[in-house]
Order: sequence, then C-alpha cells, then structure tokens
Amino acid sequence: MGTLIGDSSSYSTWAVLRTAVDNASVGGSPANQYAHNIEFLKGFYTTEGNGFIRTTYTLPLTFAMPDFNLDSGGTFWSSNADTNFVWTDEDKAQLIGEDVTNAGTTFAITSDAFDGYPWQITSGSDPIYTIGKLTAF
Amino acid sequence: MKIQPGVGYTFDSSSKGFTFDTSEQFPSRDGLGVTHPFQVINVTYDVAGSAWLFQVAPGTVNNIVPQIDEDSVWVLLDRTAGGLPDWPVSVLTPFDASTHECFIYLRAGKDTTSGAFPSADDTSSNYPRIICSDTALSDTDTYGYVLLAKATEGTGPVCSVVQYVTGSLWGDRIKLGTITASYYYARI
Repeated sequence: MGTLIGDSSSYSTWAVLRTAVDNASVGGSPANQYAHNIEFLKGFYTTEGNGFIRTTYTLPLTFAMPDFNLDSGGTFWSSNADTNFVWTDEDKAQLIGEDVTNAGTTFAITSDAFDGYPWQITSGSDPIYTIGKLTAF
Repeated sequence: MKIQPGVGYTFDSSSKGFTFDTSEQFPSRDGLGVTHPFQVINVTYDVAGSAWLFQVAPGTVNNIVPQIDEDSVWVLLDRTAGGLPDWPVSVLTPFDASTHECFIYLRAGKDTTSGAFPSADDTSSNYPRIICSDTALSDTDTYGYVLLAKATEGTGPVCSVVQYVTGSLWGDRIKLGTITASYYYARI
C-alpha cells in the first residue's frame, strides 16, 4: 500500500529538511515539534537567506538539528557532526573561519569543531553569544 | 485519401491541396469543463443580493478538506447531498473600493491543542478555511495564508478571476523564536 504524502510530517515540503542551529551551550529544549509544525526555541538562524540551514537527507520521522556547544573548559564542537550528516559540506565551509563570541573571548571556528573528539580546543567559555553569518534568537 | 474532422485540428481542402491546423491540439481545461482542486468556479452575479457568488472546487491541505462560508455557516468544500456533489456557494466580498480586487485565500493555523498544522478541529477558526479579503494578507503566528485566486470586479457587472493555486497542497509551519512563523507549501 502506498504512503500518502502529507499524511505525516515526513516527506512533505522542503521545510522538513530546513532547521535552525541549536545553541547547546544554553540549557533547555531546542524546539517543540508537532505534526507539520516546529517551533525553534533558542539558537541561531542564518543572517542571509531565509534563515534556515538545509540539512542533508534524514530518515523519515527522524529529526536532526545541528548545534554548536561550548563548555567551560573551552571545548567547542557540533554534536555528532561527524556521524549525523546534519551539516552539508557547503554550510560547514561557510562557517569555518567565522568568529564565535562567548563568555570568555572570541575565536574562529575551525574544521575540528565538526570532525569528532577531541573537537576544537579554544580559550573560550560557555555560553556562546554570537556566531558569524548566524543570528542568535 | 479521405480525411475526417477530429478533435484538436481543423482541416481545409481545395483544388490546390489540403492543410491541417493543429494550433488547438490540446483543448484547454476550461473548454473541457474540468476543474482542479481549489479552482474558483461559477462566479455569478446575484441581482437580488447585489453580490457576486462563487464556489471553490474541493481540494486538500495536508489531506484535510477546508471549509468555506455559506450563509454564515462553515461548510466543507466537498459537501454532498444524496450522494451527489453539493458544493457550497459563498459570497465574494469584500472588494477593494479603489482597485476593485478581492483576494481569495486559504487560511490555516496550528491546532491549539495538539500543535499540529493545520488544525483538524473543524469547529476552530484555525481549521483550514477559504476566506476573502480586499487587501493582501500577511502570515501571522496564528494563521498562514495562501492566495488561491484574485477576483476583479468591473461594471456591467463583470468579474474576472486569476487563479494562482491549481492543486491540493501540503505544508509546514516553522517558527524561529519570537519571529513570526513561516509557512511553506507544495502543490500535490
């Protein structure tokens, strides 16, 4: 039996493959999810364009939202960026080199932030305030 | 050789030969009397009520059939009576006093209980509904609007309709923080 498009939140408009970026250095749930409706509660959107990050293909009903995190020891990373495929290569290329302002200092994003443990080691400290090319909300 | 008349072409013959004209090879949808989802149809002037009446062919948004106002009652577009189509008739109003335009929108909002978009509660104003407006409408956190068609009234009376949406839709609502929600639709 076929699957009727639009009957669930999977495979509907291109919106299901667009998302904000969670600011994981700030506590709380990143979003409220409902059928065909998602409300992002905190994080970043793109300063240019429509505000959304285009994620790569995800399985039906699997929500994948990219994030950035920074701990008190200065480790900066995007959770599971090396395994979840939530970032496109184009987006990573846009963000590498962008400044991150935080409670401690300002540093530029390197590819280490996307490439797995031990991630990017910085002199910063949580929380993240701003990221270049992204707007906090 | 004998050539018979047929649908989609005209044929002329003379002592010098014959010609085919196939410029009308594919008859228009209107010419065939076929409607598509959300097509504004049967726009007629009601002399007694001094108002334009219209119907909207049934369609769906996220597989939900919208409602339209008929005599101040919200009625499903695909209403039937005795097993036959009995699509509701609504009043095309208001028209802008200057431009004489009336915008016909599909309005939908999220369900206040489940959070789903659109609301499946057919008693709620957030349930998908066809509405008319004399101005262009912008999305809000409560409602997303899709312009189905625009009607322009002239003297006579005459009324022309430009159709923008030609099929059923599915859509998503996205809200970023305190920024007004965005609504994205695709035609199916």
